[in-house]
Amino acid sequence: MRRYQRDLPLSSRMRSDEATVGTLTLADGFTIQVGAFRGADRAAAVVQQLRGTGLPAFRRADGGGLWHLVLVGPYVADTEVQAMRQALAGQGFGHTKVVREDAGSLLP
Amino acid sequence: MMNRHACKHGCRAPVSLIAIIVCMTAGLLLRGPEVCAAEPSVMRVLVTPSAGQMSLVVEMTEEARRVSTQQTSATVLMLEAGPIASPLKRQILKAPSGLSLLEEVAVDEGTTNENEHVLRLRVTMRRTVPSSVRVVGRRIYLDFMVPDAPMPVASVAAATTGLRSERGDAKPTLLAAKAVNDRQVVNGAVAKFEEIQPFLVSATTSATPNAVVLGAVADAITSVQQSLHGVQPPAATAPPFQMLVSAVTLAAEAVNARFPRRSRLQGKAGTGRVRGREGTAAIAPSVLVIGRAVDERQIRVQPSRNRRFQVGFAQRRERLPEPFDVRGIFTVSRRHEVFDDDERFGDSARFQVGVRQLRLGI
Repeated sequence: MRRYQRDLPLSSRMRSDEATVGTLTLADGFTIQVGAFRGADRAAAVVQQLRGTGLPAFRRADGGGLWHLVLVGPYVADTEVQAMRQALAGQGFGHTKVVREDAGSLLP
Repeated sequence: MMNRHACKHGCRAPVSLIAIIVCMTAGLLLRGPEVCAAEPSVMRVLVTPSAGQMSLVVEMTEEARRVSTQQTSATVLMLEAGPIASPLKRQILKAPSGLSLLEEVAVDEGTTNENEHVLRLRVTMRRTVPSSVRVVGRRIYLDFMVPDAPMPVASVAAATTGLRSERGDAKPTLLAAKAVNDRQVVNGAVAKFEEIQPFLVSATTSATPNAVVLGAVADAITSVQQSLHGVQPPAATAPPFQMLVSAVTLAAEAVNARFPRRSRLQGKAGTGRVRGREGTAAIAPSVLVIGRAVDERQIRVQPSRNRRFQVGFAQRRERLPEPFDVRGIFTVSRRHEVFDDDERFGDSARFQVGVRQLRLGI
């Protein structure tokens, strides 16, 4: 029997009955490397600048902490990657490279 | 005679073999047998883990017209997208083993107050992480910042709020109080800096600088510098704070009698020079736009001899005044690495960096 709890938050109103249970599909993604910096603060500043324009930028330590990569993404489609690279080029970040994120090896 | 099928949204379409094939193709994973071709439907839900950020991807057959999220608890995020075709096969998708951040995703449907049929996604995390949503064509990305990786800069308000909500003991409360106090100090310093700005500009751009005015402005800037000495910004806001300190330092240099004009950009010529070897100060134009900027400037940097860099305004577009972003100061006041990739520096002779989003980051 279905029950709706209308007074509760949205999350509580979701029906758990009649739902099938499965496992989320892992997918490889693509990120766009905008830059690599030795200083974390400079990488953070670029990330902030990109996020300020609405881009999904983040940073990641690489090379044993020697480099701080500034990345945008991830995306799952090549068309999205290319469109974003063009957008980045328009903002002065013309020297980007695409990084394939192996879902199997990059589990957090 | 052609049969017609009317869906709950009122659209009517001929039931033909082609339509059936189209509908079945679109309903690869989550759709039921009855669909309305006028609205997009959910094709699949994916997760793309990566170091630094993990994204949950909802693929639709077409771009969703409306997408919204709601954080219903510390670890539960609701996403609503639509309108979508109905019905939707409800699913609970458990996170694969090894995905420590995410617990499960419940895919469900619902009806809004406007009687629109929408997708409702309930994402349950194992711990609290910052998230954001973006729509890229027919895909909806829910981005979660993986806390194990370095975090992007956040606002002081967000940082202190997170501190209070995640910890309840006395020490974090004191830390939060200190953060609030520091923020007030910084805001005060910024306000005073804004007051100084007109005098600063006048004093440093005058053909015949008045020593008395320069001295008074220098004293005011010194007081701003001193007020910032005791501030200990949270790690997340350290970079913009350092930019602010850098800006104040630049201002002090600009009016310092020892460097009366050398550290100032030659405004008319539109070019300046960076002392790249030590990577400090030297680009004075940032001083001129602190506080309220009235234009947007594209800054062009060109490597020159002896590790020096030519800096100039490539474009100048008028726009409404808005709070200035100290990040812009940081961008032009530090070494060349700021402008480009350390790895590949030297490959390019010229870059353009836009000073955008003129907003104080603290």
